[in-house]
Amino acid sequence: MRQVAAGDGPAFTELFRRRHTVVFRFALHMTGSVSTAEDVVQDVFLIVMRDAVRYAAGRGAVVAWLCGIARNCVRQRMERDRRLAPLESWGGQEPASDKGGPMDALAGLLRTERIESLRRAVQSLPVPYREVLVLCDLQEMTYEDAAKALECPVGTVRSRLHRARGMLTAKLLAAEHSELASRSETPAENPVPAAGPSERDREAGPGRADAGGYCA
Amino acid sequence: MNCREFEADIVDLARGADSGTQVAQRLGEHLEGCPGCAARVERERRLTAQLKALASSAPESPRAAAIEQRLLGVFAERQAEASRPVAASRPVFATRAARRWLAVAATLLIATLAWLGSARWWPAHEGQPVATRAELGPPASDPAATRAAERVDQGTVAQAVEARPREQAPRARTGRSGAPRVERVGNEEVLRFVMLPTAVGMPGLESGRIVRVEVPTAMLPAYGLDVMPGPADGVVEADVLVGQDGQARAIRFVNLDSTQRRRQ
Repeated sequence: MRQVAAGDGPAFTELFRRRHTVVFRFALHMTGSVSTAEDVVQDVFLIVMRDAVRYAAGRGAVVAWLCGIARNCVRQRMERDRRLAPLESWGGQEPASDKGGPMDALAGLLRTERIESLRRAVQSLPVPYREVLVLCDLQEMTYEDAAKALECPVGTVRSRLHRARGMLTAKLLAAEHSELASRSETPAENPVPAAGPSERDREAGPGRADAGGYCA
Repeated sequence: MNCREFEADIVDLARGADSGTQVAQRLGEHLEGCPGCAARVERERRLTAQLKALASSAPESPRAAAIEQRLLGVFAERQAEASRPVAASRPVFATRAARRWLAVAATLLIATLAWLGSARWWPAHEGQPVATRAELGPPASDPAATRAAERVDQGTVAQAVEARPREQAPRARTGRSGAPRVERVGNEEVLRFVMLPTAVGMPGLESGRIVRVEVPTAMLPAYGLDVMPGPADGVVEADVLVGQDGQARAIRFVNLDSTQRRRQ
């Protein structure tokens, strides 16, 4: 970052290539719009050009600083354009852990549908809870870095995450409940998930023990 | 550990966050004996797995390369601009030092204009030095003060202001040679009334009264008087002419040297 502040072009390029995905995905999960997320990426790195000299390494990781800037940019854009359509489909890719195996078309469809349902549920969360969930669970940022990005105490991050996950679970259960009710004539009082634990465990893939670690 | 205590750590456990060996051991013991919490942890773990799948389904930025090129262009442009010689790229007053000097010069100019402006308001007098008096003057209802007010009513203030060209107006300098002359009204020595700048444009003076006030020494420059050596928190007496509408029209200083004293 010091090199960027000193006007080192290759250092800026390196910073962009290493970090633009984090910024892009954060903005994408927050807004649900690819084009808006790209605009946010551009805004963030323009601010980095101007304010790199103000970055203090002792006050948090670079990624937390970038996500903090991105958060402000996202909020400004959402404020500016309240008609932003957050639910446009981004044409998500299959998880990397599923690639290469025998693909059951029906299971793939169900998985895609479930991910889409989850994405809608995430984007329907109130912004403060969505921010925490995106940073901690989708970007796998530590509580400390998320707190720096959001400019709030670690305890607030934890409690918001706890609450966000509770809201998300409720939304997913409600969605599954209504989906089951619409698909069959079975009474909807049994909100059994569409897929069993084994299916979900397969989706989780390896490396779950690393969750809660540092953002790439 | 009971279920309520467990609640606080359930998300951390499901996310795989490191909560410490001892806490993890206690959580494990609780889970073995509590099917409800075990089910809850399992649900949170499923949610974590789903969120992980969602995170990995997010696409890359399709225009990342184009954005990178655009940003690099802007970066290079800014660096080129920053490395240009200051004289060529910036106006004269763009630097901080130049702006500071400009502010100082502007302050001096304003002070000079204020000095000249205050001199304009000072009445025409050829001067004898201000004498001193040991005690306070009479109250504002004193006949001497009333006579002075009458002179103001007759337009002496306006005459004094209008009669003297600004460049000829002497500065009022108390206690020095060249100070404005004073008048003796009763047993007081007073300067002539001067119109207050705020009285410009007010209706004509039909009647009024004089109010004796104390003016802080620090305010004297505002009326064209130099601050005399002495305590900075001193006060001087003055008569303020208040018109029929309650608005102050003019002011005169009374026994300027002798009444300057420390505020109690």
